[in-house]
Amino acid sequence: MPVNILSVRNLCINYNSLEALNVLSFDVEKADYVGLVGPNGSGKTTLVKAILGLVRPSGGAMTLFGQPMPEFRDWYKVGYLPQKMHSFNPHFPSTVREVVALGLISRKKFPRRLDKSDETAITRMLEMLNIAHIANKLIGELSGGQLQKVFIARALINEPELIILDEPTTALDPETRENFFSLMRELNLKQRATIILVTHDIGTIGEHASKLLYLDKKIIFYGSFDEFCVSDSMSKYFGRSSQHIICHKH
Amino acid sequence: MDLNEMLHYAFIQRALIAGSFIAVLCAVLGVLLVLRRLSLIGDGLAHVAFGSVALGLVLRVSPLYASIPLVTASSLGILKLMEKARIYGDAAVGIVSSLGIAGGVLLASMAGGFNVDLFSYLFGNILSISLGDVITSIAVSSIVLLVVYFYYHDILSLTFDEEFAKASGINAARINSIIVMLTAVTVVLTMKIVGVMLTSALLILPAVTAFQVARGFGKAIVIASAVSLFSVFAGIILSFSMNLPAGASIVIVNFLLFAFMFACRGIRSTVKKQ
Repeated sequence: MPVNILSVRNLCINYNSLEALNVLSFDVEKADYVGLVGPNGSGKTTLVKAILGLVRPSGGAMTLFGQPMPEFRDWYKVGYLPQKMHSFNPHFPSTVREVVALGLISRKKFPRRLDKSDETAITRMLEMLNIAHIANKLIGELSGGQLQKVFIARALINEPELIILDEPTTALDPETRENFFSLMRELNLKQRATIILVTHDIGTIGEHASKLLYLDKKIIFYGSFDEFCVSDSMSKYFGRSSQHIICHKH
Repeated sequence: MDLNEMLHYAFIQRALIAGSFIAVLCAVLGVLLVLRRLSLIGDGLAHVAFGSVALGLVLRVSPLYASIPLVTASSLGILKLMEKARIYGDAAVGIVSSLGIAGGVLLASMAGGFNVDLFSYLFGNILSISLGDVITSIAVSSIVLLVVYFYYHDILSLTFDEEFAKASGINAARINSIIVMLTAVTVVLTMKIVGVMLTSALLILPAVTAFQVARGFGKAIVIASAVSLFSVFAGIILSFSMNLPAGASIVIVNFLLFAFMFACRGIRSTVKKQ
């Protein structure tokens, strides 16, 4: 029987009087790999922020791992890779190890001290992403690709059951991008991690995700790629050529 | 007069003990404030403290009792302005700062002009602090250091990436309020040492000096504390032996250390490139 990881019912979000999301209802089940796509300003990042509890809904309800959102406390089950990785201060005097360690603190109770097993977990994660050699480098000394890997390590260090990726590969070269997506595929297939991948790249989303959530303030389509690719209503909405672009790599 | 002889004076001992605690306190908070781009909050709150001292003098209550609640309320006001009025931290600090100084000038004018007491708070004098001030400095510094110790990872996460910290379940509003309230109390204490005009220097200079060489957030806090301690000790000794104002001497030593570390960093990166 499918297990609901995320359940969204009649979700509405307004910024002042502007409508960002309008009556969204959908479920994400365990081991789903959902591609969240839509045009600029369609509410993708707003939806991600709502799932992470960063934005308060104007209406509707959400449950995460079966718990109503306001009461949800098990944030270590959720790994998050934010879109704006350059929004931090590049002169921040933290090392790569320190930044990756920040991913672990959602698992810790007050006063959130790290122990030896945490240090081992950090080392293992750095090795897995091939960045162990830069562990003691300052964050401001890294290239865009290295920085992105550090944030990926921070997002995955807890072995989260739900991974939310907001435009994760923008700073990565093709090889690292391919490695990143094979890692996600492995986590999805072998460890049954649930993944929500936000992307603008509709041409390649079918390569990675098993489900498509097309958003434009409201849900235009939510379902499997197979359903999307044969849907006449979607063909009318997007036009045959756009539908083909989304589907051709699936 | 040699150092040994100097240390026999009770007022020098008080200055060194209180100064050491406040030095570490300012260094630790300074690292957090500078990294959060709130460097000038110390300056703004010091201006509010000036207004509060004027109020205390007009009402004939201890300036400290008038300052702590008013400056703390102002620090929370700055946070609220940033959140609710959707303005950047520097503008929020500017509003509260100018309000504080304007209030102080108005009160001083209504009370018949500036007097000696008010001026002593403008420039401070660590050599005149009382035993009560020493005890207050030790108590407040200990509380702040304990808070930073227990909330170290929350503070680091929030300072580095507020959005990620919130998504990790960290109560950002609570930690932010704690940090600005601690800053408010620190500013009131620091005012006694270097005065309203130079308070922000004790918060900013040790932190930016540490950032020239530190490789890690924890190390930055330790180096900033060492720099701050050295500046206060050297400043007090210079002030006493050369008959200079203590606050200004401490700030100048702090600046010289910054200039030295900045130069060392420049030389190191030039050597690395070669």
